[in-house]
Amino acid sequence: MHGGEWVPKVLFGLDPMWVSTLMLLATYVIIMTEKINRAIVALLGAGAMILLGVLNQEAAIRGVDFNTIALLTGMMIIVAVTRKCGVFQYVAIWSAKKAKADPAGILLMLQIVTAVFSAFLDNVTTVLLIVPVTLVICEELKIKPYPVLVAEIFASNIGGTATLIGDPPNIIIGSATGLTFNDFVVNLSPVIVVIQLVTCLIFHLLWGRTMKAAPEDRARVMAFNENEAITDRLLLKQALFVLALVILAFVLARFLHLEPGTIAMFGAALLMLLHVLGKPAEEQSHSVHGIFGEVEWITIFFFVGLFMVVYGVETAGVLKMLAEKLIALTGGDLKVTALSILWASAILSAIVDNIPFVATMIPLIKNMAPTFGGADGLLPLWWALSLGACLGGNGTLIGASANLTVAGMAERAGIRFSFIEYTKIAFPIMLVSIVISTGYVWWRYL
Amino acid sequence: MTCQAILNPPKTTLRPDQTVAQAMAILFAEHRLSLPVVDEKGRYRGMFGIHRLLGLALPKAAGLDQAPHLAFVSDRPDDIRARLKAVADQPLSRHLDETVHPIRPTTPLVETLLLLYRSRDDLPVVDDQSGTLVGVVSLRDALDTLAKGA
Repeated sequence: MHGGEWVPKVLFGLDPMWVSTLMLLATYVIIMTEKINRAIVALLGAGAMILLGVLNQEAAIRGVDFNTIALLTGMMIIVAVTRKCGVFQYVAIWSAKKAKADPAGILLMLQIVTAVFSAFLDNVTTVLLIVPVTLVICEELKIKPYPVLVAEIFASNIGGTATLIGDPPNIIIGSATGLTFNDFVVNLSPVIVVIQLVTCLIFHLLWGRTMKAAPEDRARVMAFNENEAITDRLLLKQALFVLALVILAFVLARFLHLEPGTIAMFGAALLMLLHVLGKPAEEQSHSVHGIFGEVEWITIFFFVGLFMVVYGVETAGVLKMLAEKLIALTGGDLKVTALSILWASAILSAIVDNIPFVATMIPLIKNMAPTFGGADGLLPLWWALSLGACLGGNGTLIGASANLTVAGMAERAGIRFSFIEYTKIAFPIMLVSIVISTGYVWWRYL
Repeated sequence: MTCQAILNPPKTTLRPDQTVAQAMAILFAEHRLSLPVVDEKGRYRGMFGIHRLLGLALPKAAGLDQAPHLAFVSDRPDDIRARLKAVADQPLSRHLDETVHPIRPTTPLVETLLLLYRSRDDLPVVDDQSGTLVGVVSLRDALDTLAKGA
């Protein structure tokens, strides 16, 4: 992630490699148990790295990728303001009506809408916006929401893989490697479109073709007035203007010499300004306070702590050693290395949090640069890592935050989401997406 | 001074195995906003009232934290009645309002008034040790008792 200048001086002269590895493993294991909030665990891990002497305070701060932090926070603020106007619900209802309220058509359209939203928004935010409307539509149609919700989980994780800002692993990879928004779109969106279409077909064959609704129930959905979902037309215009500006800036980032974090933060500040302009000072403070309250601080502090923990391991030389071992294992063959990363990322991301995994893999892969002819030679590995880590999350209910969010909302609405039942269906479909990715990476880069 | 000053013993309670329809009839007959639900041993299980009934009349998504505005839904009274009819025969145990936090008999009076003010609903008073329902402090009775003493 960053070049190490600090030389670890661990307490009692202990070996920094062992101490940092133990701290990293302890952090991972405790995060996996989900007994303690992951932000607390990551911050404790970071503190331990400093207290034990693996890092000093300056090195720990150097380890934090503030571009990622700014990008995440900025986009969270933009979404927090934008969602107030109801535009996302509008699109979901509009798409259901475009499908003439036919359940199979709605299953297809909601997947596409979710995937597109997810490419530009955080996956969890996307499902938080889509699931409530989905539940209303399914209830009116008297159809089981479970298939639609599972399909939306997939679409959120698949769509999020297409862009730099769609999924946290991509944000970290992009920030650490300098790969731009356009790089992600050009390299990942073609295969993501194919994977999404294949997934839509699978869900149609599995569920969609047998889903039926009575004409009177379909008429109720067709009577929905999507215009009523828009609660603030002025805010809608402001939010769409800023979103368009931000995406344009992402596209032109290389020419503008701006980091994605700067663009997102500037966009967030501009949107907040437009939103509070002309309001009394007290109301402005209240509004900004509310918007900041919607930022997922758990995620932000989790990243801060995690970056420090991983930097500790990197500084101690553990990741360089692991990279050398991995190269030895794959014989320095780019094909074998890329496909190993793709499949290992997918399987691991289905069972563990993909964010710590990707954060650890980035410096490890960077250490392979000399073997593969420099930074450009690593490109296939970055795309393999992104595809594996993002798509692998679909494999189980705990594979990605969006999955758990949907399951939690469904349970509150009385819809049971079983880990085993979900995995039985989801894991094979996830493997299909990885097989397609394997073909794509092989064909395009190897 | 504790909530005992405004506490009333539970006159009417509901059982978890009673149906939603039965509970609705009792609520209307007693002119109550809500009633405590207790099991056969007198242990408090939750509240059930008008607020919960309104929730059952709405689409399920209305109960989510991230519930959308429902202005786009154009249901007619018959559609809403159909939702209530669908749950009418279900036991209360499936629809308890667990958002109401019971207070203890030792909860101070002013704190009790504050909780009533915030909850805008009657509050169950539950014994910490046994979990049994001791009584209910209701908005109306609390103000009535305090006003009489003025």
